[in-house]
Amino acid sequence: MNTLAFIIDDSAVNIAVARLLLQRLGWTVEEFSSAIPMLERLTQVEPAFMLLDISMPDMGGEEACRRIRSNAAWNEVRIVAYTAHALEDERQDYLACGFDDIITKPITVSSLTAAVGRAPVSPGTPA
Amino acid sequence: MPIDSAKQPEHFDPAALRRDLFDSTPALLNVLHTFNPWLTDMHGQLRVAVEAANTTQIAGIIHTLRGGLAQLRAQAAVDLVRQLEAACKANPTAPLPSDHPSLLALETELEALSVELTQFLLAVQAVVPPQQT
Repeated sequence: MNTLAFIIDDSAVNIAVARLLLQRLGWTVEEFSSAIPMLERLTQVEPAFMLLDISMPDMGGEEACRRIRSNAAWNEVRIVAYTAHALEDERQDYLACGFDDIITKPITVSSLTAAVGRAPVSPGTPA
Repeated sequence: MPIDSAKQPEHFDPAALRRDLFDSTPALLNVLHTFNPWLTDMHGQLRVAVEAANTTQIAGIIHTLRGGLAQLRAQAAVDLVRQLEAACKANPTAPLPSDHPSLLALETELEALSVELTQFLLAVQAVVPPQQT
């Protein structure tokens, strides 16, 4: 089973929390403070799950998600938008970009577990 | 839990954050140690953007702040950030005045939060054995 997850967020605090939770759920985590290096890394490895912040300085999460979805090779990755707030019309915009789900900060065990969309893998399961 | 013997903060809610982290005190401390340098950096960026009267930059910084503060359950600061986001959205082309009441209040709140977080970490480290941190 692919247990590789990407976290992309320009906030070190939000990355720290998401990393701890995903690792505890058994995921192997790679983290990025912006979308561009993540897109470069995506040419080398294939994560099963991605937590992608919406508001980032160099490239927003919506644009990054569009680019990922435009490449058929990356269609399998589950991408969850991760944002400080999401109004209903914004949620629809995010889904239209290709996000599979949206979670609102603060992230919690329950919100993340639901967003992952599958049973957590066993802790310590190798990638 | 030993952490419960530390004085409970007023500007953030470590108990709620710890619940988010599988009730793990080491995980809580890990996040809190990340928070103070991040807060100092964001606070500095905010001051520079306010001095430059760059409302677009201010809006981006306070949005990022909101996400981190929400995670820490720093509710008073989150409320002030929301007010500032609303002010920036209401008039995105006008510079946000450096004496905007919500901005001044946020500056005070962030400073209080930083001091309290430092005190909390010192208190917790005094009662939690090193191997648990």
